[in-house]
Amino acid sequence: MEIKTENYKVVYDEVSNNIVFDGSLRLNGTAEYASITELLNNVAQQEPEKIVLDLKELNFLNSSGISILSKFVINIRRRKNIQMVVIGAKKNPWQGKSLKNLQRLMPSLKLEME
Amino acid sequence: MTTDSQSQLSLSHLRHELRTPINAIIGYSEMIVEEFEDLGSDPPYLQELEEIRDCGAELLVSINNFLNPAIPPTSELEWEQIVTNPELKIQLQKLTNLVINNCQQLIPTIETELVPDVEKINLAANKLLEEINNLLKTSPGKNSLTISPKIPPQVVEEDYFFEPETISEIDIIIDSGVLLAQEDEQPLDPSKYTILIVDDNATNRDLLSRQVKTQGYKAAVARDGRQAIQKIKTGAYDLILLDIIMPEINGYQVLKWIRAGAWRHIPTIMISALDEIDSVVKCIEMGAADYLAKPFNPTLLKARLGACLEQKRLRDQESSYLDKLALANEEIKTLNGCLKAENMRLSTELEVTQRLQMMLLPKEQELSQIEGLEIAGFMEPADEVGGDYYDVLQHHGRITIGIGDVTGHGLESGVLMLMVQTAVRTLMENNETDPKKFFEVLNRTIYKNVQRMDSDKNLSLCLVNYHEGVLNLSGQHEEMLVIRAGGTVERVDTIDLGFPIGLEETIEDFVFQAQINLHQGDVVILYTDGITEAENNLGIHYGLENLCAIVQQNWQESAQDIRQAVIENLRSHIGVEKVYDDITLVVLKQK
Repeated sequence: MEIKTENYKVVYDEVSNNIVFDGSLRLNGTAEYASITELLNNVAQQEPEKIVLDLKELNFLNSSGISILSKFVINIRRRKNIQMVVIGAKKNPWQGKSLKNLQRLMPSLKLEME
Repeated sequence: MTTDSQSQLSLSHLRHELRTPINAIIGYSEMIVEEFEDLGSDPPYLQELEEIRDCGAELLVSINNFLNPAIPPTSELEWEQIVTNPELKIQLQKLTNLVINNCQQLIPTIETELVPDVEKINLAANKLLEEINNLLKTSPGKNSLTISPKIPPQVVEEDYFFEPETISEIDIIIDSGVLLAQEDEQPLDPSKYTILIVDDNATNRDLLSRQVKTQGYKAAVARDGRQAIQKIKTGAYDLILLDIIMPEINGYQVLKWIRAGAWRHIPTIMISALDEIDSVVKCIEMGAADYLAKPFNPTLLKARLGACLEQKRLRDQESSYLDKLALANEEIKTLNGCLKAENMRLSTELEVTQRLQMMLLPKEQELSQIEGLEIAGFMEPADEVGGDYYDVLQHHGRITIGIGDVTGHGLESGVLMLMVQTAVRTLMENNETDPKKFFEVLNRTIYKNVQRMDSDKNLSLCLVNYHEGVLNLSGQHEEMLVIRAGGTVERVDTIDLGFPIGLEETIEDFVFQAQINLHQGDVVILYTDGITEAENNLGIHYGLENLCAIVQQNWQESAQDIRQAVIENLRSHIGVEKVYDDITLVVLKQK
């Protein structure tokens, strides 16, 4: 599964269970995020043992996008048996703060900042 | 009418009258022969039947030879010579008697169910004999009375004169195997088709109906033009076999009526004698699908019916596609209407939401009455209203400044923002001063409503309490900027002071308070991401650095002037680009 546009791409690797975000996500509201939400929900539904959310190359995510990720983390948390890892990078200023919220939503979530 | 044309007319008429019984002889005999052929049986009396059929064919040839001369008669005398030609009489009588003899032999020997058909042949042959005997008494002046009261239509005046070869050519076509091969590919289910047979001659009606039924079609009959029109109006016919020469309303008139009305899609095959080819041409020009010559050849009839009905089926299919297309068009129109209504609704929704957002904003006058602080607020809803919130509330000398941003856009975001405003005011009026409790109750209130709304929205919210030079802030939102008198900037991170409202059922554990002391001339800036994330034509954000810089340059100005400086600077960054998010700015300045 993958979503590719000029500004960003989201790729799910079914073998490694990595969801890799790349580029800059500035979509307008939940409606424009629908395809990404669908991809994330599909991954959650498969209930893999571990999901890695790789955001290293996502240099911007607006508040609607952060809200989408938060909902995803809540979805994963509800399923209990999935181990969740979020990889960020210090070069992306938005991540230092926003990714903290994800960890608060799911204390077992492993946050790795590169 | 001149005598010449009268003579010609009469010849044509004569041929027509003589051919009618001959057609019956050929028609019935051929039908019986075909039935046996289809059954694959070879009865002993087949020879007699074939002889009858052949006699019929010879009779037709004789009539054409004698009564359709290459040079038409120019006077009554010439006409009489043609008609009273003893050779003609002998020839016709000989063949007709042969038919009658064969019938006499057949009637006692043939299967009982075929006897009526043979009797019909016999009757036709006797009628023919009578007509032949009448020939000698006939003259162009009186023939119409002695032969028949029927006047053929005008078009037949322009008679067509066949060369014998032409006739045989047509015969060859009739018997060619191409037509037989085609009929094997017949994709139609004949039982679904009803064919209307219009002929004033009962024998023709009978012959045609039986041939049509033999081929599996349903048959209906009309005995004249008037009845045909009546039936077409009330019945559902897939094809019409239409005789040209009929009393009162003739075939042309019926055809003209069919083509002019709602039934023009019904294919019409004209029934005509071979020497009426001009009439046939005229009919085809008028829109007839095809023609069928008398005597009726079953193979040809089958091929023509098949071809016409196939064409009709394709046409019906096409018109059904057109109907579907028209239906789809209608649907598109309806959808378009819905879209217009939806656009109208959206623009109404936008207006409502914008008004909701603006109506609860603190008034300038309220702000000017606040002691110790200069406050200037600014809010501009985006084209698609977001859910920005800012408020300044005063209660028992306590001032609370709130700023927040509901995710997403539209009415739902606007409504959520109103709820937040009310909840904050309620908690203040209830003297709730503990930030943890304040945010916990606020969050639960919003969370439960968001659940009820089945919404996926949440919001950032920061509340700033001011009392005598001290700011206490809680809640998670954008960084708060403090620009000290002199221009030093302090950025206050609010991530650890709270949590998004309405996302989780409880957030108490995440709520903390930070305290800032303000001195005279210090400026505090609260804003939403509509400012920092405003894009220019290259997609570059306005950014926090720009915001800090512009306030730094203007710290000594009044709160209103700082607000104006920021907004102007922001607008010059955005240029003509679309504003995607609400823009909210609150400037506080310690007096």
